[in-house]
Amino acid sequence: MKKTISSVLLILAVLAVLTTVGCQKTENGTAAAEETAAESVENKLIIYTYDSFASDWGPAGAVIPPFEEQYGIEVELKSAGDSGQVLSRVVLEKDAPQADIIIGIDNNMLAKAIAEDVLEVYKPANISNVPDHLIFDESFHVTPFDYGYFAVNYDSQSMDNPPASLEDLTKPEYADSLILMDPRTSSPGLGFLLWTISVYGDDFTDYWNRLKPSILTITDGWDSGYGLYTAGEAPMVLSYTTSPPYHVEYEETDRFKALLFEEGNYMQIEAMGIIKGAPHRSNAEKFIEYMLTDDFQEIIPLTNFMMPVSSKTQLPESFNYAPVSDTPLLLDTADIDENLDTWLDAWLEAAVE
Amino acid sequence: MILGAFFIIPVLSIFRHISFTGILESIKNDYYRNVISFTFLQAAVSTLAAVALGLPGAWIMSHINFRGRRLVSSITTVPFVLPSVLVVLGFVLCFGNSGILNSFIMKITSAEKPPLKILYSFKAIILAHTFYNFPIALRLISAAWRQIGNSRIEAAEILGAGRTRIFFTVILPSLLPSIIAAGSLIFIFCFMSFAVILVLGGGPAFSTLEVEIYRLARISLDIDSAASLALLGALLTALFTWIYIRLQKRASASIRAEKAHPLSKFSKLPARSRVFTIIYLLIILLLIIGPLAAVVYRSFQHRSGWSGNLAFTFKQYTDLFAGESSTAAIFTSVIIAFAAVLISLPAGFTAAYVIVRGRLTFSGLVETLFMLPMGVSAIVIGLGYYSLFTLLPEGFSNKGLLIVFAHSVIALPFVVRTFTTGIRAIKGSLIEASHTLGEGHLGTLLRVELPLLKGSIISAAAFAFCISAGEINAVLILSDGTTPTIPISIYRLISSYQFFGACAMGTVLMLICGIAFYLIDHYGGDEIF
Repeated sequence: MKKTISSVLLILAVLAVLTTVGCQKTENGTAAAEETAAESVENKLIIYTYDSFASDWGPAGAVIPPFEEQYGIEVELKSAGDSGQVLSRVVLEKDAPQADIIIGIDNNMLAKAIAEDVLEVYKPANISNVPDHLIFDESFHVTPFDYGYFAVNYDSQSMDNPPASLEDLTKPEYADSLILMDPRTSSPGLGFLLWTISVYGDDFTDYWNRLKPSILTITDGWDSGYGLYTAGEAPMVLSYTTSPPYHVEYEETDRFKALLFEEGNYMQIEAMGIIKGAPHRSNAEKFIEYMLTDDFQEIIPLTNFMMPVSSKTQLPESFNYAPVSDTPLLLDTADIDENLDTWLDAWLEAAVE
Repeated sequence: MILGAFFIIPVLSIFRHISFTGILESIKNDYYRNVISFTFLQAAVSTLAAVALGLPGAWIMSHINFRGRRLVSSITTVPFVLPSVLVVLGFVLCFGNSGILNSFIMKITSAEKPPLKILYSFKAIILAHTFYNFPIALRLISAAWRQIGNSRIEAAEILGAGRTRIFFTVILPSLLPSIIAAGSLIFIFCFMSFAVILVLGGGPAFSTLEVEIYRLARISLDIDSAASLALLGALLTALFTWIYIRLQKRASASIRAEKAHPLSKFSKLPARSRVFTIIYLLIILLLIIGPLAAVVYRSFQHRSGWSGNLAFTFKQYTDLFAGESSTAAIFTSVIIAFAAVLISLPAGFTAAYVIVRGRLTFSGLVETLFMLPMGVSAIVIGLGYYSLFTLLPEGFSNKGLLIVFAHSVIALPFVVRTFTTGIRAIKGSLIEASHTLGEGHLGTLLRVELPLLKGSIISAAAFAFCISAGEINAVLILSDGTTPTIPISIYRLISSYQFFGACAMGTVLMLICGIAFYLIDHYGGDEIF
């Protein structure tokens, strides 16, 4: 026993020493990183984004090479999991910024990003292409590049009486019919929680209690949820109004449909911003301007399956199957930042009960 | 040591963020306490279930020679390598409310509602974890079982012991170290699991520690608390591992034969054993092959016509191989996995050898440390690497070698565990005899010990290969998403709605692992597994 205790103490001591050394290293490292940043070549741009944006099937392959050619700037695209992980990475690197642009901050994350003070203000000239109601950050820490509405999607082959409202979803006829996502691990999941809060206010936990019988399961991410839905496990799933166009475009079927609800549909607006201390600031500005042009915007619909923010951009025909809500819902970003943890706790209590 | 640094430095660099009050607060918090006890409970039940299912299989694999034996042994290890999103999909296609099993029963009985409510419950979690993990039990235990000499059993028979008595007094004690080794690995695996638990359990009522860490790191951006909670999880797994190691040491009776006993032919078995073998294999077929086959089946489907019904096609495969990127991903995965085997095997063997034979004062603790790469939350290790990257010169992070090292570290717990169990089981008298006959340490190692460890080597190699081939986080982080491997392609296909294509890629992954295991078994020697 004595031996064990002394060995634990020894290990702890070693860990303590290593940690201290590690901390000191950080301080030196910061200085070193700043030097490299200053020396770096001018014609570069380093972008952080979420993984599906960077993938072969995402927008990156179609928008980055033309930008590089047009501006003679070499782009280094680095992806780091989902958008939440990308932002945590930027926050971790706050003292020694490694990248110029972060792609993928949405209306629900903005306040956190501003509070962490990792973004630079920039108001692009091309912002005139974007209608006012999509400019959710009037302080211009970020600029929107695409948007969509969260929507309950349903399979018209297995359901002929779809619900017309959030309230309808609680009806007994929809027992075990809906697949949702966990707001702690998924951004559509978080979007749906905020949707219920923007409609029911403080009574949202009551709504969730009434909704519970209709929920088949709550998945960790959109991936599993949508996979289960298209495998026929449940007739309804939480997704976007822009999901049906995929099936129309690539599978030539309109069996999967998105629903607009009477209370309105909650919005997700995706944006990008310049990172504070960006080593290639002026190139970053060029990229933001480029992002608002047609060259970039017209790629968005069929690669990211979201709506382009520019009102000038023509939509592909399959997007006729993406309904547009005339009651878009959006919570105030400061409100979200202040209450999110309380809301999540309250939701969890209601969901676990 | 170098390998250790790959794990320890990033972990330390993120654990700078913790505070002990943070840990105390997590323990005091009622909700976290519930989460921790649930995490523990499901892991314990899953472990029992996986070992219980693995035990009869281990008997079959170590006693009977039948056609397709090696195929069965290869297939059972495949679940391990699939990304959780495909495992969940396969499960639902098989056992879901509108899955194959329910549709079949509904057709026969003309029932209106799905008769079997298997999923979205606690038992579904256990079922899925058993599916994932029983191969560990099967492999480790059957390797040990194969080494129990017939002479001891015959001796017990001559002394008049019945079958049950022989099992409990001779066989079980010899198997115990391997059972404990398998159990500890399975336990930690289930302890860290979260996607499977959330989806198949039916939602947040079944949350594990990992989900909470995710929330803190991702949504609340509270990296300090995330790191504290991750450390708490790591400490708990370290504690469990330590207990297991104590148990295993106590159980370590080295009752190993000099030679593996011969296998019996299936046709020469008594009728009862034959029926048992067939029934067991059928259960395995349903539980293991069912979900895998569902994924394969789906990869040959596409939607045809405006009604969106499913039809047979090779389209997913022709699409997949139309561009170069999929072929490149497959190539990358295979190279990395083989390299990870080549590094983790010698490293793990050396570590295990030192732990068992080195008479270290803190050998239990050292062994526990080697299990830790499994016990630290993946998202936290990821953040650790990011905070470490800021310290490194530019461009340093973009190397395939780093990924190979990281995978070797992730595979080490399995490799070390497999080898320590194997080495401990070798009779001390054998080594002494070898020394008496004039062999040095090296000669003994090469001519006596290594041949006896063949089974362990094969298992360790198979585990290292599939852990690397199925790993996603380290690749994403270390390559900044610029090196797509097969699992990364699967996730990317899915996030662009291409579920059928993802199933095709998943099928390719299973095929590659199947082939790799077959080769490993084949060149490892027919006699062992």
